[in-house]
Amino acid sequence: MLARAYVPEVTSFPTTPFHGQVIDYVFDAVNGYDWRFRYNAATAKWRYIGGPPMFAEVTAQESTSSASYAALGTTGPAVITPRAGDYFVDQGAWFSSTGSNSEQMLMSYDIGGTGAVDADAVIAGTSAGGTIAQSASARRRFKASLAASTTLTSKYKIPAAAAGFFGNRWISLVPVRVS
Amino acid sequence: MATIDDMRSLGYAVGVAFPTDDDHVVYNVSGFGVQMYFRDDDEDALTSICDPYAHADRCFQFNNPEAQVVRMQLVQNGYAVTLDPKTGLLSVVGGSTKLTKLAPADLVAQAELPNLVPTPPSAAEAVLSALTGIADPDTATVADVVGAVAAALQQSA
Repeated sequence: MLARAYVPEVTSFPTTPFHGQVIDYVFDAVNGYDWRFRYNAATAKWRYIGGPPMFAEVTAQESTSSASYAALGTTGPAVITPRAGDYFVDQGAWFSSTGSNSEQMLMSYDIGGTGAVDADAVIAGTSAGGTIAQSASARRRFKASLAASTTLTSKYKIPAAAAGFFGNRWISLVPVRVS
Repeated sequence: MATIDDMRSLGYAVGVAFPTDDDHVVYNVSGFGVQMYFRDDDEDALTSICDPYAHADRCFQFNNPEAQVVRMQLVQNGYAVTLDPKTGLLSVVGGSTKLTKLAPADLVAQAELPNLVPTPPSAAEAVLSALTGIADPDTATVADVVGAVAAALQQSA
């Protein structure tokens, strides 16, 4: 008789893993979401096999006139790395503004205590002589070596002298390999 | 400082998503268009979710998406639109318009208010203005524009 394959569902990683070991790690016990990993002894890393992204959103449209990265009325959205490792970070929003000329609106994210930077930003804007900017935009970045328990919090800015509105804003996190 | 219980009392669903390696927990909060993760020591997240005005505004937008579309349109058309967080009623002020205590459905009816923001000149209009010195080519007569262009060409020759 064949033994039934069994993948354990865990809320913490095994302390003495073996090569090829497979687990279902519960990263959201509230909603019952988990990620499946396979352990690679050569790299001492758990490779991500599958599962839904860790997803966060704020649908309310809120604004800022800040020329440097700032939170809106509702902070975030934010996601948190359960383990140290490499991740894909996606983010997006619906952008609009009250200005009318050559302006950009940027959405980036703090990485723990490190402030948001333009290199991670998703950007929307108008050309010179354009009218009100309205755009739904998104961007994916690969972030290597994020520490465990790092909060990624979306931040916003509009360099031009105008109010930038950000709605349906979201950020998501998918692991690639973790330790 | 706001607490998890404050969040729950406002109607949000909050639960522990996962424990962290440094003996904290990460919560998942959802409700009124918010779905987010935050650590138990993240005071900014707690404060901002429980802020009375931000909460009222999220509820308004979540429950009245059609009124939110009109609100944005009015703001972009130059009106000040404010929400009373206690009553959920709105006011619209701009130009000769001053409306108060509007229910969301009444705000939708204000979508036809005129645009108070002047339309920026096109690139062609801007060049014509620079060449002729006429501030608004839209309101000038053809004779005015032809005369001004002729004068400008004569000057440059």
